[in-house]
Amino acid sequence: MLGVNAGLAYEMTNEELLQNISMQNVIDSIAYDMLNVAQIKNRMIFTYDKESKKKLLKCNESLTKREILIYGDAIQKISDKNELAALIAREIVKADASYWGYFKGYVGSAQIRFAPKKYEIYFDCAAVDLMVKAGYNPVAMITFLHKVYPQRRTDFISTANLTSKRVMHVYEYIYTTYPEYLINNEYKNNKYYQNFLLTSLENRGKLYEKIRTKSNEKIKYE
Amino acid sequence: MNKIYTIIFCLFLLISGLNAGAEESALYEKLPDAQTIQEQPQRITNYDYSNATRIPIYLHIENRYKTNGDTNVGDELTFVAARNVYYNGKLLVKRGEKTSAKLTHFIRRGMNGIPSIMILEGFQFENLDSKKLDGKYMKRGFDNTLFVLPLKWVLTPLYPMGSFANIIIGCEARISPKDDIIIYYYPEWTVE
Repeated sequence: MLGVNAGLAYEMTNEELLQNISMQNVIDSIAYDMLNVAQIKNRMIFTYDKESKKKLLKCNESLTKREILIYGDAIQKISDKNELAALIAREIVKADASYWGYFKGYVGSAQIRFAPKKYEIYFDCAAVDLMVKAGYNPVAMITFLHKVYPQRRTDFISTANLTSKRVMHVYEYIYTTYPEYLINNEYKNNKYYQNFLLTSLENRGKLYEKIRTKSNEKIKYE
Repeated sequence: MNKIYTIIFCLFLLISGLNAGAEESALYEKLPDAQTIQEQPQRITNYDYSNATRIPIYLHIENRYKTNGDTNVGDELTFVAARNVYYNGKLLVKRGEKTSAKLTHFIRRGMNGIPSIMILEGFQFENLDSKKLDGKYMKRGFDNTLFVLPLKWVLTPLYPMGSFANIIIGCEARISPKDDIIIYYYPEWTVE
């Protein structure tokens, strides 16, 4: 294993090596800060992989080995530190959830693998909590999800929620739990955030109607 | 008479037009009032977790609580301290002291025996620093996956019987007043 790593390092130029090391340091710094501030007592590690995720069916390492792999193609879509924190926070919440359930988390992890759709919105919203605790702006979670995840036609028979639905749940969560981030919104002039506002007119209308009528009914976002 | 009908009709058009405007304006970002904002938890900037001393705090829920289809995030649950809690001879939590926690996250139950999960946060006590309190409590419903998976594997050769095991739903999460809920307090931690 050492030989393989040494070989890869040997093939890298000094600039590439330094770039990788510095990215790994940035990821570790943000991630461990979050773990400490949120007092998460489960162990996990973070690995920056410059390559993109090649095997679609590759087992999710954050659920099995609690090794969070941050791929280079995901990093490419990130514009600022808050969005990087959003990416990391989401993976931390997922790895933390892999400790749930019987047999040291084996059953809980299997459930997350069977039905990721059920857990997705929890991961997004709990990651927002983590970001706030660690001092990052949670609105970045909206721009991060909006930019990174594609929009399917439907999620009727699917293992994933529509991205527009996930983003709206995050927006609703921030709106109800951390509204000061929307009032003093640093992302107000951000083009990605404005694009989210533009594409979520119908869904936001449903949310404002729920707030106006003080309804407790769950909104069916599209 | 026709004039009256015309005036009523014009008024109707005017009012409906105003309403349409109101609906439209609801589509733009409408933020809550500053007065409605609650105090947010302060960010932790300095911490030292060297000391491993921890004190268990036993709680009982005041009223039975069970998740269901109408469960909403934000529900407040009241708990009562079940025992006196002392540290260095000082009474920290008196038996009977009430505290409340908020349902911050809720995952609905699903097929394949997946149970519903509720996460409660925000426990606070008069004499305790809430930053040193492990104030997160998670409760899962009974995990039917434990027998759904073996059942599925046994039935898989009898196609398509194995797939029928998918429709077994998990259990709701519930907290009864008899359940001992334990949260931990770390008195020697430095958390600022």
